[in-house]
Amino acid sequence: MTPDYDVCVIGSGAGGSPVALTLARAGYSVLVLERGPWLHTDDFYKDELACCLRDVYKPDRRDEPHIIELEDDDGGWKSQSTRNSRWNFWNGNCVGGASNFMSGYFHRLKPLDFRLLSEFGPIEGANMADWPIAYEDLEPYYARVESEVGVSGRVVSHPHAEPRSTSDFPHPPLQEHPVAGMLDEAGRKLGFHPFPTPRAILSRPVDERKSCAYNGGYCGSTGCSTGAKGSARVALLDKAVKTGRCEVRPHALVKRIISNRQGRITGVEYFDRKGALQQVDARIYVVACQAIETAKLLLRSAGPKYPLGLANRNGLVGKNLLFAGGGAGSGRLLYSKFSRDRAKELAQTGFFINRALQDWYVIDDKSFGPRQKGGTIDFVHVHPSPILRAQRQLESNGRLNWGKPLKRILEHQFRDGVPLKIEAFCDWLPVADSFVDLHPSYKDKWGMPVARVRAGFHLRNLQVGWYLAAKGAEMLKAIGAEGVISFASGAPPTNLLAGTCRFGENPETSVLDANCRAHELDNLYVTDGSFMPTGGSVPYTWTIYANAFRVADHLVGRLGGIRRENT
Amino acid sequence: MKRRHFLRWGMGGLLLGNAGLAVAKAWVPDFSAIRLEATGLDAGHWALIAEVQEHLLPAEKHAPGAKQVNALVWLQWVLSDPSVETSTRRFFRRGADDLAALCQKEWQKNFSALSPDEKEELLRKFETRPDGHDWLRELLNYLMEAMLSDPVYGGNPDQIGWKWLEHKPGYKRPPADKRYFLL
Repeated sequence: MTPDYDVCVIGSGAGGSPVALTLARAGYSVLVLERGPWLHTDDFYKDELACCLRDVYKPDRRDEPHIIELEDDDGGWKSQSTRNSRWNFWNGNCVGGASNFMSGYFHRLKPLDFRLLSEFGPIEGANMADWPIAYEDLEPYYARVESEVGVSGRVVSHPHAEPRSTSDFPHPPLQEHPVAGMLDEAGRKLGFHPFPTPRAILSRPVDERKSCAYNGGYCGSTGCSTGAKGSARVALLDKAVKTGRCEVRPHALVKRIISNRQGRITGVEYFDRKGALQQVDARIYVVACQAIETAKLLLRSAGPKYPLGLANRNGLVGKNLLFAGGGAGSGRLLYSKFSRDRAKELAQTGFFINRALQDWYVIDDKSFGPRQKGGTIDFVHVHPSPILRAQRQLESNGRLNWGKPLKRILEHQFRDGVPLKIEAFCDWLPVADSFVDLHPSYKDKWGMPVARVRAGFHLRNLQVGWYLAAKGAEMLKAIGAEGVISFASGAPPTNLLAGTCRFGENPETSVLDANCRAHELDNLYVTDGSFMPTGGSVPYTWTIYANAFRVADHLVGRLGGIRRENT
Repeated sequence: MKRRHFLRWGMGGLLLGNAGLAVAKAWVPDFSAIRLEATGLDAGHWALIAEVQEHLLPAEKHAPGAKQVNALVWLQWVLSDPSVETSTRRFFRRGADDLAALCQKEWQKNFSALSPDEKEELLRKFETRPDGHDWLRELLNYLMEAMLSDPVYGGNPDQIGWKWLEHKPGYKRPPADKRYFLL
């Protein structure tokens, strides 16, 4: 029997959409199953209630919680449901996935990120591993993302700049806030090398996508109202659908991937909008639901030949969950320290700071320890969301602020200066105590087991995070910022997820092969961030996009190349 | 470096994802359609909450107070959302009852009869109880919502809160037919 589709992609975000677009363009029929609704650019607004306080782009945690395990002060594990907590491990359940809500700080990995084990040796307590591919294998796909998704920026040489196959970005840099120039100058004085942060945001219109409207840092958490942000939806899926060979099916939550006694996948079973079960089959299945959900789906898809779940013979599905390690910091440029005209320029927060430092991507500092992996420091505006900003001022030292004193605090916070932020990214080292599995008894509203997420971290994450954040703080002080603080946190950032299905050459120590195909299944691929054995010290989205394009090219080859009638 | 030292920062990481209030997203009525009985609190509770809100966010010549940002109706609107859990309504009701009781015990009169200094003293005392602290914190959270959300929802009328704090809204602002519960 002919399958319904050539390729079935589960998940429509940054991992699934490059596959859908590439295969559809090559002449193959593609079905994309997405559990959330299909919202379009016209449905996205700068609405703090929608994005950030009522979480409309995420499932209701009362119906679908996660069980989180965090280390307590005594080295034990404290378990809590996200049902009524401030934690939310969901990220953008709608067509295009979490890429709709990213900030789009786009950094590539460096060549050494592909071989951390060989480069720096083992780290006690961490499951370090080299990647089965090298930077050179991924470089052409980073370049493809620059043009296909749309990355704006300007190449500036610095000590840890990675090699490129093209001389510069396809789109010029976005408009910059005066703080960018101040950071450049401070960097020169300090001997650091700040460079413009590439952004997955268009600085000029392309086809139906308009250029940026310059909201001054509203991008993160909110959908883009112009189509400038390179979400998988607007940059890739819309094009895939236009080929006429890609169907996107929203409100389709996959329950399981079905396999028979011979171990062959026979189809996918999903809940439709009304909650009824439907089935569909394909020649190739591609899972891209983001690290936690992908692991959950494979684990709950046990079959006669796979009692532990799909691709999980060695028990590694869900293991080595990666968040992003790092530190943070903040400071404030007070208008009172500048001339009236300059203060006016600084108060214009529409444009981007877009500056980063990678001087310590490798830390070679005897006072810190042996030569080791460091990371990236981004300088950004504080997110302008006013309610959350105000709510952060409601308590000082355990005592609530209210009345006129609270109002003076708010006036100072909002009106007296530009609040600046440091975001430092380092590797979240893969450790045994960072994993996802299925809770043995707790079920969600669909009757499926909820995820148990243990978010243990390696002390090294914090040490490097502190180090980097402190360097960022030096820069803020150098431009005259007041109240500069920096710190690191072991709290898992719930919007930066990878790992759980690491790829590798050895089927005993990895889940996927170098092409991101499950070692034990011929036609099952995983193309979200799950494949990463180590995450690098940058946000993951660019690498997820690039790798998914790489796997997509492999799939086109495997299916017989570009179909002649489409060339 | 001690692990405990880092854990102090536990939830403080700026890299955290959204950590908003866990309130449902089902359809809720417009301000004009609020029925008090749907809030789970009676007129007496609401009269007390209005007084407390005004103390927490007093009106000033140059800066709006609770009444001007529609804070009371805002909270009534939130609680009349049919998907809000009964326990949430109970939490607000019980807090109001407890505060009223504490007020009688300490001052033998109603909250509205207290002077501003007496109100302050009472609320600070109430704050020392864990449930009192949480109740006041929630009132403050919703005051900030009423003051700084997009006016399309009914709070922050004429952008009074945004104007005061010189906040510039992003592009685009939500129109009435794209409010979050209609998406």
